[in-house]
Amino acid sequence: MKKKVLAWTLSAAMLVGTGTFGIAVQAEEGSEVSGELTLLMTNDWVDENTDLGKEFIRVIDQYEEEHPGTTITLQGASQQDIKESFQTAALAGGGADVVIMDNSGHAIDLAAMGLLYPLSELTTAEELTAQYQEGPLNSGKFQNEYYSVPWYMDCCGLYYNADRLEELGLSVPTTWEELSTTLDAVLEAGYGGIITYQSAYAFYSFFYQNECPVFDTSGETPTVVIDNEAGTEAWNYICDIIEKGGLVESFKEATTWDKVYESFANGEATFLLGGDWCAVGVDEINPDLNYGITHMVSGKTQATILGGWTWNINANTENPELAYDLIQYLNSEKGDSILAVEGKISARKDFDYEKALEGKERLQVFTDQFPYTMARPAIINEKAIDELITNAILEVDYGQADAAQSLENLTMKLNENIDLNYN
Amino acid sequence: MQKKVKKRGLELRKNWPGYLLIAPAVLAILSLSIYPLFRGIYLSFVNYNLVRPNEAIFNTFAGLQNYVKIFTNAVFQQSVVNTVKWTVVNLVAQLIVAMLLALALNKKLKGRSLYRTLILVPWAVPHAIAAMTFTFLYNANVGIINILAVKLGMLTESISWLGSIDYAFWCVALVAIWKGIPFQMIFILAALQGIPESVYESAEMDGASRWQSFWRITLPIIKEPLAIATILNLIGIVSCFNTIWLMTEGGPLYSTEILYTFAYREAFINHNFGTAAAASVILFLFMALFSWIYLRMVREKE
Repeated sequence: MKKKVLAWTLSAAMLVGTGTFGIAVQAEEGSEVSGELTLLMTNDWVDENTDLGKEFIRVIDQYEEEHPGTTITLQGASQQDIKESFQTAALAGGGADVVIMDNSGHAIDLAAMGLLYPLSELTTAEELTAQYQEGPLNSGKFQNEYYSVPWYMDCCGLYYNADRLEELGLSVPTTWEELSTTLDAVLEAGYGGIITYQSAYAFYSFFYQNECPVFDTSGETPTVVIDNEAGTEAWNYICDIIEKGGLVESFKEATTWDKVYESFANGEATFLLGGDWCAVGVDEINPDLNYGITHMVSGKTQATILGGWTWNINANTENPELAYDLIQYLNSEKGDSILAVEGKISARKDFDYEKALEGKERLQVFTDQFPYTMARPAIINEKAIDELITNAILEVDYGQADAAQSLENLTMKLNENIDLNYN
Repeated sequence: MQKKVKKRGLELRKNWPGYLLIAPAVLAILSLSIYPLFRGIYLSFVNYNLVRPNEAIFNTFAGLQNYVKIFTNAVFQQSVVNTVKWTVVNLVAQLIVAMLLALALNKKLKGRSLYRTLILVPWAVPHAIAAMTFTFLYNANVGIINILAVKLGMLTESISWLGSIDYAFWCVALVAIWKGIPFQMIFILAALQGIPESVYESAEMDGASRWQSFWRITLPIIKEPLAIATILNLIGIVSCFNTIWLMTEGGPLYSTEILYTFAYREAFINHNFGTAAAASVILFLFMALFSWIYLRMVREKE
């Protein structure tokens, strides 16, 4: 009897093993993967009432049709909450199979928490680097392992009120010095200066333009270099702009991008520092505004900060192959129509920029800047780092500290943060 | 004597259908309230930095370290001061305005029902909607407050109310006060309606002024329901998170940071659940104190 039970058990185990192996082989072969997936997107992508949502849902439906037996469920979250929503669910052992994330360091935090599926299990580093731009790809790199697949990328540009500059007889600034003197003239004429989102986003560009990476991430533990000679110079330049009133009043409450668009579209600010998405926001508020977009000003060198979104696979997913297959599909030419709705630029290396910018020539400046676009420092808790830099800027803006004091305090706090998360 | 003891027992055999019926609710409360509470207290005593899950120190006993960390944190200190200020300002303002409104609406006015309904509107408005609406009103560019103030000559140029370290706190508090008044007012109004008109008539005949009637008759009679409403309101005020987070995220420069936003920041921005839990425990102690006072009052009333 015992022998019989053992025989049946072994046979069953072998059958199950063969079956599993069969499924695995099928999955490895690529296109035959199927199953159920949940995608967590920001609300715009899943809202059927928007052009963006409509096109995204159409492509998802198309994928389902091409992959019989596959069901994809879309979930929405606000841009501010998407990381927290995913993090909470994933920590509890659940969460959407795939989630999109801003490439501003969120993926690194989630990877550090062990919530993201390492891409090395699905593809090779060589394949990824051959397929995608380096900056967006590195924004999801943690401890030499890739965790994010880049989707689309953008960078920070300089928006200017063309009518106002013409009225004042000023030309578009291209260097630090020119920006500074143009601001002087604008302020003297009683107009507002610069508006940007209340974060470190746009300000990183000035450090990069002065060849200061803010953090040296070449070693195992990041080192704060914001206070080195180049960093101090960049910080002093930023503070000089702030102290002369170069940031408009609305900057103090610009904790959402819509306030940034409003300030520029309504004429409060003469300049706006932001990515390609700002054009849509500005046009919606004031379609008659005559404005232009140009490269970020150059310091010692030309540089700007990277923006964009990435795809991330949940470590709890039961179907990582299918998740990766869907991401590859959405990132292929079949998914380009989604990005075309707002003229977004894929992070794929073989992406056809010219085709994407047809009718949206104004946005070409962003693709022109890509060769010198730099990602934010790849550091755990980048959001906390961002908050510290923003607060230092605000301290100067409120007159609570001068450039030297604020930099000293900021350096100390950044070091404390690194110490807390690495040492 | 023995019989009495038996009656006080659970009498499981006799009352099992009742216990069975309340079991789902008890289980829900245990899993959704009691477990998180104890889990939170536990987390406040362990090293729980989410971004370092592979470190040997992760999830190990930390003693009082998390508490020491937050008490030496300048932002936490500021959040405690702000929490006290927030509570006092909200409570006093809501109490005074709610009392005045309730007294007015207790009078026989024309269209009284309409006024009562209208005054309840802020209470019915979701926190998120209220926060977004007021954010728009305060806006430096298109906000009606700035536009009117500049047109009337009260301001020379627009002010970023929510971006000002001097005004942001008061601007957010105003929204919380506006939303909180109806809750307090309903309780007071209900209590006022329980006072017979004849009491005031007798007082008037005895020569009491309106002010004297209020201090000597109204206030002593409504004292208990007023206190209960105040304590309940206090719990709501201390735990007000949505309005602050949606309007200012605790800024600028932590000028609107209260304990709740601090705990959220520690958990979801700094990813340190240990210190976040420690801050939550401090917040819980505040709440527990108010709840204890409330329960004592209810018991005394009974």
